[in-house]
Amino acid sequence: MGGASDVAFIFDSDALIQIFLAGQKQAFSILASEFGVRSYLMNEVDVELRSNKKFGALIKPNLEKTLKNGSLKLLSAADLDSLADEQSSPVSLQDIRSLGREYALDVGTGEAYTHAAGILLNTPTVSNDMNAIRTLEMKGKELPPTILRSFDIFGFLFSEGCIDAHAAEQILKELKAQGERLPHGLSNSSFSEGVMTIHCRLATSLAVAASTTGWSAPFYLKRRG
Amino acid sequence: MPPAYASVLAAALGVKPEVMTSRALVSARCSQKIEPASIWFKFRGDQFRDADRESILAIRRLGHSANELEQSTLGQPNRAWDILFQNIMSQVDIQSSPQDQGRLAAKAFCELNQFGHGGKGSADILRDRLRSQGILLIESPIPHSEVEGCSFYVGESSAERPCLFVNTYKTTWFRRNVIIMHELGHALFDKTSGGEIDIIIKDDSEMNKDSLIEVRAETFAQETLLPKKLLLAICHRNGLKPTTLMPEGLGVLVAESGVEKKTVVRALLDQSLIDDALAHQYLAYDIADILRGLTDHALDTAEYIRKIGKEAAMAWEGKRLTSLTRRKLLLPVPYVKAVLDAVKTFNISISRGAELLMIDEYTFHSRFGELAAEVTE
Repeated sequence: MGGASDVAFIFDSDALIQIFLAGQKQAFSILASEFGVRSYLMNEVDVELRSNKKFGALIKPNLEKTLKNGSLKLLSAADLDSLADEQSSPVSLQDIRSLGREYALDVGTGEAYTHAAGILLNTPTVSNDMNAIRTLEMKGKELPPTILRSFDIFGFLFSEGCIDAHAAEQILKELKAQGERLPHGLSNSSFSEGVMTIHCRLATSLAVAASTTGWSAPFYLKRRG
Repeated sequence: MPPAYASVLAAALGVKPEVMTSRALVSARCSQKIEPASIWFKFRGDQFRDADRESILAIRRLGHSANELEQSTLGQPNRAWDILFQNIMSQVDIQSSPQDQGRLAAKAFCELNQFGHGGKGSADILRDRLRSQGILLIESPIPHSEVEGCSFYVGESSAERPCLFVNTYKTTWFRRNVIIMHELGHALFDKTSGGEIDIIIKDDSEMNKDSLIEVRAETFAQETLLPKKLLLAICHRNGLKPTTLMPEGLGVLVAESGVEKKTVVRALLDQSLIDDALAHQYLAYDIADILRGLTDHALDTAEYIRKIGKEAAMAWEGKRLTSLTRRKLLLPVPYVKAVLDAVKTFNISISRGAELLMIDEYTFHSRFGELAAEVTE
């Protein structure tokens, strides 16, 4: 893992869909400017988003805006060079695709390639698909060091004061209106109450740190001076 | 194109994945060497419609998915068919006549698969038998198509498997059994041809009797479903004589063998159990009503639903149709069951299950909500 300005999150399609549906595309630029987090998605996830029958057309304009302003990036070979700077052996797109292909036998294409990138780059992934995670666990497959949910991002931004209470309630309202699946504690409560029950996996600390206890343990970011 | 999608498309088209890269396409375009895989070469004629080609594309994708499902659940694709085919072909002299080749292959097939044992027809077991050998069998309607059935290989060369397709549009179960075994005959004998397509023919005179491969496949189908000893066993059990069949007797032969009237009469003739005049007479019998009283397989959809009850009939209603393919494909029940079982046992995730069923995740949740709730708790 890099220093305070060298954290990468790899986003899966279901998490990105919720972020865009919730109107929180600025989350990527806030994560980058305030906490040094660079947000990436795999090419396969980009295809999934654009071809999503239910929300593809709805989220496409915001997806393109974030890709264009660079706050969200397609993971490329050049990015891998910088992300793998501090790793003992370099990681290539070919390596990620090879592991992704293996994982794609068991879970959806988006999750497979997202988690493959997270594992090889030793970086957190953002995916809401708990069923895919459980499937990989049951099959004894390795998982990324940390797996965040879209609500960990929302909860984190809320707790850090980057989004206010009204905006937070709007996120919940919008996702409910779109019939999106929500963490248990948030289904029947307000955002401010429900977010306390979901054990947010993203927090701030004095330094960037991932827990060694498992993928669901908190990941700590450091706010930039 | 992301390689993950290129490999699926390549498998469906029957080309190597590297061909799908933009560099390879540009290079092929410049050298004017874009040549179709053999199955598409065969589907290039005017008699085929877009619906035919789109259905074949979806079927080829299904073949690829079936391989991947087995890789995920069993560790490797089921290649039992390969051993079966080798065993059969070791008993066939390819220098003999097409009829003899078909006959010998049918005899070997029946022995290896216990077809016709106990003097009983094999139509009820043939689908399970073929699928358990790793053969992909798809029965799905393509309305207004000339294609009655076709046979080709799907999957990458290291994991290829025979795929038999039968167009169910306006056909009977009894006819489809013959088509399935005919297509199996092609898969067995004509692998190197890259696939065979059979067009709907109105009567026997249209059949290409000069074609070695058609005669061989037809003989194979007839001899696997209606060997002489089976015809005689059914007659004996029901107190029938082949030379004095009334419509009721012919109906019994069709019902118990599970084979359409036309093929039953031709088998009686080919086995010298009747002469041409009797064959002509039997073909004129109207046995539709008799058949409905003898077997559920002769009932039309409305009659069948009335008989087994709406609830049982609707168990799979609306749950097998693909939605992400341009041409909707009715997936085989055993395949859908295998995917759902894999989801239930956490061998694959819901999102992967949806991909294999060629539907999106939202559709998966709406079709299989109970299972989805169970595995996402």
